[in-house]
Amino acid sequence: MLVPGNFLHPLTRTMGWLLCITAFCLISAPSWAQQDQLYLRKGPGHAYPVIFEVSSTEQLQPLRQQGEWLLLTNGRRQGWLPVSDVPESSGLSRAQIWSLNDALRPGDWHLQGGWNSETALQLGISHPLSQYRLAARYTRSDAGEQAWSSAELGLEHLLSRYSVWSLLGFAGLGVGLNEEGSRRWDKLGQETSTALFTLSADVIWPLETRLDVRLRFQASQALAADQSLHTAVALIWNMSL
Amino acid sequence: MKYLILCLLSFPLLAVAETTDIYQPRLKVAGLEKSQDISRRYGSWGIGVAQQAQDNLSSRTAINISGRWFAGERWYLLGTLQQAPFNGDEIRDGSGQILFAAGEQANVLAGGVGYAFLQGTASLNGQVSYPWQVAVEGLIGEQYTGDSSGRYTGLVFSWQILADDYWLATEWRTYQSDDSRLDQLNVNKGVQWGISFGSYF
Repeated sequence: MLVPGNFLHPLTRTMGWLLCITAFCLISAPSWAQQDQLYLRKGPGHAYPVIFEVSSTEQLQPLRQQGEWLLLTNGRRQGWLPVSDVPESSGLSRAQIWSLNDALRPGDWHLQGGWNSETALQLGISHPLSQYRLAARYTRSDAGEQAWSSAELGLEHLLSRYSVWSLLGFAGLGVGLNEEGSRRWDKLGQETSTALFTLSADVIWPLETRLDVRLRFQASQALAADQSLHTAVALIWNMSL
Repeated sequence: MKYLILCLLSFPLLAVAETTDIYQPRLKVAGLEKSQDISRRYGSWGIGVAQQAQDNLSSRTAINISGRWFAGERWYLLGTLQQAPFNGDEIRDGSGQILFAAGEQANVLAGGVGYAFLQGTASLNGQVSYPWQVAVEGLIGEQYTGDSSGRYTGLVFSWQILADDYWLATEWRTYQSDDSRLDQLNVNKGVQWGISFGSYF
């Protein structure tokens, strides 16, 4: 015997499933669509506008790399994309993508330049040495009667890290040259030289992958001459090559 | 018998061919050779002219060269070398002592950092557009004026249009030198504006 309830029940269940699947597709479709699109920009930066978008499976040819950005073309148009966003399905081999990312890694050599509260210029260079960094620093002041310079060699060590900030310590030995007229290491202003022992702590704030700025608190003890202690605060720009 | 001799004679040839097949290595290609075609851009260089103006001296034209090393999306390091005439006529104090000889030059060697705080695109005809950026730059270095020198500091605002293979910029700079000889006559600071043109490396 045909009962309407028995006929409608499977139909209702099927309709329910269809509604669920449709709703799921509608909700998840935009996210799938976003993953499948690459947004290429006018310039090598996130602030430049998106000028066109392509499917992540479209064959793209790399033209140029600038920092973390890659200029790509599909044969008709070209735009910039972060290297980290380049998919393996875009025509670049896995080895190519690895090579592009490898080129972004900061180098071992660090170069520094800055200015301190004693109106002196500071230059430095460092290279990894085991878990430390071997660092050489040169400081020069020629402001009026305070003409002096110092050169130091020492070790840097990362003391702590908090979020993006880090704290770096330095201990080194060096030599200071007091030019005639300067009273930094000689009260009479005579030309003299002295051995130095220097401690410093750098508070590091990374700006870019290869560039950071450091606030340096420094104390330098003269081991000869007038045996004076000098402290300074410096703003240092550090780049990795 | 005839065939046997032929076989014996051809055996060394066959053996050599087989040996060549065995020892011929197959090269595995990682695909990295394509990456060598991707040119890498590290920075830019440029030349420019600028007009300097400051109190107590007539305005003058300076020429400069500059180099920028891109540290990331927005930050870059820069170095600049600038040459400009400082004064035309001889300058003497009240007692007749020469303070500035005639035709002294002011040469500046400075380095610093720049930060592009605005980036966008610009177009004249709506068909072709160019990326541009406005950057603020801090300079520190040395200014050599005649026989004296002093610490040079400058603050620069620069508007740069970045084409594919070249760039064009206009800048406005305020600067000062702590050269005591210049400071005595209050000619140690001023402003300049200029245009620069360059390419990339």
